[in-house]
Amino acid sequence: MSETIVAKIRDLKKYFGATKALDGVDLDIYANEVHAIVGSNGAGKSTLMKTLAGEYIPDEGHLYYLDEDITGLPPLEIQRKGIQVVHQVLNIVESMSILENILVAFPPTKNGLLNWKDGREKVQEILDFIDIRFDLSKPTGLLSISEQQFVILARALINKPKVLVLDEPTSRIGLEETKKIFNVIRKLKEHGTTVIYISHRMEEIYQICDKISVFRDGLRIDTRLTKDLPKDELVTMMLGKKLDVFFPKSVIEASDEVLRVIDLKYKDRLDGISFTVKHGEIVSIVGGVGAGKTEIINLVYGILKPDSGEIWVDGKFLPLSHTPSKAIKHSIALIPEDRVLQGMIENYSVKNNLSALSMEKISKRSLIRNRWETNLAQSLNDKLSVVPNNIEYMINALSGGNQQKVVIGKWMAEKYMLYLLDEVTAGVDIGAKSEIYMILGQLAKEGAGVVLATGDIEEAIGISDRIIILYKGKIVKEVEPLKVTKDEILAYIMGGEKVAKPVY
Amino acid sequence: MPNQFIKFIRLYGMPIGLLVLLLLVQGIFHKVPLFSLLNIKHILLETVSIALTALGLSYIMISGEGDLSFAGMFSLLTVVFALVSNQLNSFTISFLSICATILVVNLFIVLLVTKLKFSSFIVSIAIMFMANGVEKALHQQTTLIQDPNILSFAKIEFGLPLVVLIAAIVYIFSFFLINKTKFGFSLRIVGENKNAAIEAGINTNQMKVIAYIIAGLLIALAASIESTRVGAIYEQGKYYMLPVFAACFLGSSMFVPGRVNVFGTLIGALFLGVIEKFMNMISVESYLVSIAQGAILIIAVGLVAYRHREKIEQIKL
Amino acid sequence: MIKQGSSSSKKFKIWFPSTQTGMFLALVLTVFIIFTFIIPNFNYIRIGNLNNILTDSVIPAIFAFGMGMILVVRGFDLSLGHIASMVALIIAYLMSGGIKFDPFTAILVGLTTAAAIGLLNGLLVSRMGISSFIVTLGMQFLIIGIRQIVTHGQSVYISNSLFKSLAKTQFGISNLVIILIIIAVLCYFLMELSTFGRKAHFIGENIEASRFMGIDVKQYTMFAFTLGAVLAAIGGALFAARAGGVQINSVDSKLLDAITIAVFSGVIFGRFKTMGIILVSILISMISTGMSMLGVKTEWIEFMKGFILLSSIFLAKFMNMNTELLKLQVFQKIKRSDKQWT
Repeated sequence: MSETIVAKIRDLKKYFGATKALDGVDLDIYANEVHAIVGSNGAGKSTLMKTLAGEYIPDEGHLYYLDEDITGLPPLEIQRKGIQVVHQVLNIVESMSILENILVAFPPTKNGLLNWKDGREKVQEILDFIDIRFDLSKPTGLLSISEQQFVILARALINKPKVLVLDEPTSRIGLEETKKIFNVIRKLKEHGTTVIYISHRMEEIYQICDKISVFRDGLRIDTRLTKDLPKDELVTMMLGKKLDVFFPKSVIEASDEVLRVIDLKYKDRLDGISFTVKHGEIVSIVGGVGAGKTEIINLVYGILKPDSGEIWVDGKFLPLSHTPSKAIKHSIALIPEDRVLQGMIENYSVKNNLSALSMEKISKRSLIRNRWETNLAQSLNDKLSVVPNNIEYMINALSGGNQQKVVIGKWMAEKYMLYLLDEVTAGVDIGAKSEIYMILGQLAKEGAGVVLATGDIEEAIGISDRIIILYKGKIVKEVEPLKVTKDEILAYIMGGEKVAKPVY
Repeated sequence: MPNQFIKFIRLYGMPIGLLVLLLLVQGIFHKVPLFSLLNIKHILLETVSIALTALGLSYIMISGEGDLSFAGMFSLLTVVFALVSNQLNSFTISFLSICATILVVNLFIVLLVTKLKFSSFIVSIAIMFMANGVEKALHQQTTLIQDPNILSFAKIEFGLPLVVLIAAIVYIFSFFLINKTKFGFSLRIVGENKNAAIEAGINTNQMKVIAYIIAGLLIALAASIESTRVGAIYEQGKYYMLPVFAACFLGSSMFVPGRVNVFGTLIGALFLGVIEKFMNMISVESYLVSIAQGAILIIAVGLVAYRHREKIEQIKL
Repeated sequence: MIKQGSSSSKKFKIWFPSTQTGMFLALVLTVFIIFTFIIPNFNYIRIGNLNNILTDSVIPAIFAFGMGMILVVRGFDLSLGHIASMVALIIAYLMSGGIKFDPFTAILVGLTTAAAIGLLNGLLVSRMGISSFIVTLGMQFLIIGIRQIVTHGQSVYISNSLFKSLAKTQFGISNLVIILIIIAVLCYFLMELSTFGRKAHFIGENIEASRFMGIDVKQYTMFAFTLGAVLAAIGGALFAARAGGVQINSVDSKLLDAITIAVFSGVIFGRFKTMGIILVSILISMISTGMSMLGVKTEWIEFMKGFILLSSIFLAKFMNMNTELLKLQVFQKIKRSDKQWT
């Protein structure tokens, strides 16, 4: 870390209608540092980075880069100056090759015509730097999400930025890949680049970042050296209040089986998965991206059709061709991975979203009775303590964590036997996370089986009775959280060999 | 090896399949020589304006928008062409005036789409209906082109009819423009992933404006050619829609699967033109032709879509 | 944009007193007043004329109901006009052919045919995954061809007076209006109050999420197309009743009206609002009638309808509505999401 200030943010304000996304942010960014930006959803992290990148124009305040005022410059200019942002959303052009995607902003030309050959060397250099191998002519749409993330990273690095912003870079990639990203970050730091690291993942932040800036409600609360900031204090700063209970611990006498999966096979993703879940049990399925967590969940629910295998729910056999609606009839619930695309109906009210599964309950002879709907929705809303407490609001207006509560909420209208949750706390702030864990604990207490697919090992250890570790479509181990360390789980996720030394 | 084979089939399967189909048809109706030189020239000549209009539409679709207005605009342009040419007896001036007409309209459309974020589809439908109305109003008057010089334009030949050569040049030019220049690269990105384009610093609005301008010029060219060839206004604007769209969609099933592309559109236009002309030659009634075209469109796109269907079913993991 | 319009706790919401309706009614009133004074002798507000306007708005409104249903599930149907004309021809033929069918059977056959075509459209769209635009475009041409084969281009005259009485005027009001009211009530219950309607709207807004909620998207899509076709067929039958005969392509242009009304209503009032569709249809009828009374030629009236479609979007922008309300999945980009593509 050095004392040279590379970029300055002064009194930055950005409003979206009545929402104050940024309410006067001051921040100094030094050279050669890895600087974490943490905060709950809605704290302003992504807005800040989009403003820095030039995609948003601030309503007030200034941005400085190397003493130059860059406020209001267009994205391409800012990129040229040396600030690169890798966003959460992977904006790749699917039909174009990896080479074209990496050079998308600066396609190489010769005599007015495109000349991709010229770009290959430069791109290969960057790929070696990142330590990843690609067939450059492959269409990017065919890559896994993890691989696509690296394409975007390469795109940012090709311009040799002085400031690189990574927005949730590891949320969708596996552990080997995370290792690579961390290596890249270390190398960049040596070369004099500053890395800004936005993440929800505490272990990573404490591993790789020198400084932590905490944001809350559109303001920077404080910046501290990582070594001087204990984790619980960090959480307190993020929330503005102390958080006692994080994971509910309740030990249940498990009983009959609620789910039995036998030798499930699915294309090249799952290679013979077998496991059971008992009533009252919370079982986590952990693994890297591509390991098969989402596939298992979607297969049990019926969104995907397995190639072979058997699924038994509460002693009843589910035919392989079953559909989500049949799953629901069999008392299976699913909270999908992508909240916005799969979990909720945008442009509709919280009320309509909450009642979405309870149509029969709120209607008489197929006609919806408004009062019944309102009552049902309000009770669910209260049960989940959704903020703000107004079910007439459009669901778009809520923060991520609260949207997720609504997504879960509609399933709370009935008691299901089996709950399947896919990354249920991804992108959710700590306060809401905690509440969700309480709900899951309660469901298990009441006798349901809960299957939680997650990439968050801490979460898995904290909440489950049993952890199933997945690697490349196979179950490599089943463990009990009390009898295993985080590192061991990580090791299994990465390939099934026990490794004693630190993973990163 | 099998992987390579599959790749080949999926990229080139459709055009090859169409060719095979044609050969089959020729085999069945061998009394009428489909592939004789004279007939090919004739077919090409009649397909030119559809091919050019489809190319224009392709530009718009590559940029990520849709357009139905050409169905109405095309007839309108032929009317304007006839009127101007009867007054001023000059191909050039007539051509320029219809260029001006459609450019005004297209710029209006693209302005609404880019600045006001209207749906290009709906706007173009409105324009189509408005154009229909204007066209009907205008062609109460004379509808035949009277100047023999202009009428002979379609007959000029240098081996192949001049208009065919013009169309070929335009297509080759478009191929290079779209696939080998920075402009084309940027345009394709705008159409495929607007956010990626913004991140890459591309001025999406500018790209769309240019696409609409080029499209307008192409349609004007097509209308001029058709006017001189037919010698009168082209009334069948409604029936024009199908082959043009079909050409673009058929084209999107080949060479660059899933995306509208230049040569795909060309092959699509040619194929549909050939089918239609051939059926005329063997005296198939016009309504059967329209049935055939409708069926071909649905089947061709259906095949491509069906292959993707299973994939669309899968949630992106 | 946060609040979704005030919902009253009244039992039956025919329409809600929101800004959109208010402004629209103001527009209607303005148009009405303009025409009343522009047209000589106050002919515009004569009872007979007002009745005409109302009656003229019936058939386009029914078409718009059909189109609207399909729009709700994010589909688009270009073949509705042709379906209507084909059904009208079938009905006319059946009643005047060798075996003189009675009107009820003829209508039944006609509606069944429409349902079959609609079902086919729906099947192709939902099971084959072809974009509805292409399917219905192709279907349009198929119908043109079939129609030609069946009728050899000749018009059919209807002599059956019972059938024609569908359009008769009784006690000062045309039967058509009564039929419209019946259909409107049915549509209202189906699309706005029922669970079917709610789920259909969900599909239109987010197909993925609807699937995850266990909604059978395929079934709903097929339903929508089938119902749309049947409604269009009803429109066609009524048209034939009113006109007393069917020409081979007389109903085709109704598509324009249907689109204009459905889109206009959708943009101003929301995806499917029965009252909205009826009001818009009346507005357009008012304008058409007024213009023809002023001696404007039909072409310009057609032009005006296109202009109205355009202005509806402007109006929506001006009133700051969410113009994405009518996300139409017309040009379905073929997504390549499978690794086994190459």
